[in-house]
Amino acid sequence: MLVALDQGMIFALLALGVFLTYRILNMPDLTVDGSFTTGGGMAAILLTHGVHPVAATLAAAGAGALAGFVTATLHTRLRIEPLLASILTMIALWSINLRIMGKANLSMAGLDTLFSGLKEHKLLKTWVSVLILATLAILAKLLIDWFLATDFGLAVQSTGDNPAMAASLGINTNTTKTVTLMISNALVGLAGGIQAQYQGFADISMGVGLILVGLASVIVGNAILGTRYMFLASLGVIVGSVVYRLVIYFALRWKVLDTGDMKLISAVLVVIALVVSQSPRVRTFFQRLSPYRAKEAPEPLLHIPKGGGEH
Amino acid sequence: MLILQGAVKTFFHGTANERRALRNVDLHLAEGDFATVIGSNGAGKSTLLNVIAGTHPLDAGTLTIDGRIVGTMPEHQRARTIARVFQDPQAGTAPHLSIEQNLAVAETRGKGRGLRRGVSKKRRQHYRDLLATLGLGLEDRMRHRVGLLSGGQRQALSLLMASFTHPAILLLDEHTAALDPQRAELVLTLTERVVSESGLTALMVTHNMEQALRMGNRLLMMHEGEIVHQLDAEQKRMATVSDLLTLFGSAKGTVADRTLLS
Repeated sequence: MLVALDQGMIFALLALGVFLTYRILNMPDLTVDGSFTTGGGMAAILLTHGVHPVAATLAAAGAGALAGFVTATLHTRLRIEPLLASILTMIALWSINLRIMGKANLSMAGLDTLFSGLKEHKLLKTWVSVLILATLAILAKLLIDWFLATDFGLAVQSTGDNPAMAASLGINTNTTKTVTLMISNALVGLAGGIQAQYQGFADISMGVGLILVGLASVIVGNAILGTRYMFLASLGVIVGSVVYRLVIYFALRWKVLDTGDMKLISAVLVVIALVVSQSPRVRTFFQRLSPYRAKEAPEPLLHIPKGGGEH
Repeated sequence: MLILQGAVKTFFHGTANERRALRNVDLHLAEGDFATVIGSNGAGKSTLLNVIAGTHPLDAGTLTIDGRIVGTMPEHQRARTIARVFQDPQAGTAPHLSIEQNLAVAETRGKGRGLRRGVSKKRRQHYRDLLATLGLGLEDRMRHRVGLLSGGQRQALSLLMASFTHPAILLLDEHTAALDPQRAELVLTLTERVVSESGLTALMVTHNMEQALRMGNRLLMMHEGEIVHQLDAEQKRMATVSDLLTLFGSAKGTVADRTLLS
């Protein structure tokens, strides 16, 4: 089960990236499927060339950011619809990733990686590795919280929430979108780089379908912890990622499913999570659970005041 | 302050749906002018605001603001000097951000947006004072999402967001049309106050003739993409709603004649 927790924490980085685009920017970004592999491939090839693991991991994040920049440019400069722009990048990245890696599968057996130390002391897949990876995920989450609360971060949030209002208040929405897509895919590339080192190899198809894993984590996590407070919303993403891994883990362990079914499960899980989180009955259920939401029952948009009105 | 010369804007050019929203519009607003704009549907009132704000580029003509030609400047750059309040109460605010976050976004209008904390303690105190001037009790709900506010409250907040950084020009696009009479009155009173307090140059589109006469020092009447009548402060003071209706009638007549003759 600790493997599942390790994985949950690594993929939480990817889910946080998806959170930035899907929730904050209100833009589904499929670049993720490609940029995860880009990160993994980048880390792997650099490690085989003797680069320091930390540098290789950072390069993985940088490569991801670059992929995000490409999607952003296709969308903002060439005016291609965001979904299509990200699909184009995702497909193109397949070839780029093969170029980066040189072949479809790159093993890091016997190489120094981020996890060599842990492996040596037999601490991988123990609470120690879980704790270390959790710290990393929480750190990323806190950075995102901080970023979104800055002047620029608020501009990013406005861009996703109400683009017309953002432009009317002097926000260059092309800039906010580009920066956010870059940060998002940097996190995805980072997750790819770390995952490749964790499993000991990079594979050309390691990113396939991961957008759904990210979406499932975001939707499940937000359903559990809500989106009212940024602190809880981003924390929920990590929780969602872990929940997702645990579900998969137990499904595999009890032989309900085998690994080939994973993609189907991701898709079904996202559908369920979407439908359930949109159901009013479920919403009221969660609202009853959390006292702070009950207090904020929305007022009717245009209600005619009785008598003295609101003064 | 604002000089618009020979403004032309055509939508769906060269198609069966071609619509000439602005034909040849000249408009001079001096600093501190507050002009109301009336006209029938499709007269080009909203388009006039949109080309000034930069939402739509001009097909022909020049726009000069404060001596600078802003013809090709994108909307977000013009926002430095131009603030807007939209007709739809949902349009001017970000519903998932809190009241104080919306104000912070508005405060950084025209400034660089860096990595400083958006809602700092100092700003929060400032916003509390600002919101208190609205008299809506919003100062006690600063962390609430704006989506939870009523239409009137959102519109009052939009107006505050548009004006408290003292932009040079304020564009109001039927900003009370979606409100019930009492809220509309409240927002109008606020409008008068912020415009006079900050000495803003303002352009207000309205469908309500009484409003058009009551507010501001100038009145523009538009019809089919042209400004067909202008009243100065003196004429405006003397005019009544029925005078405006007569003017409307004559405007329609002249345009119809001209169309026939051309």
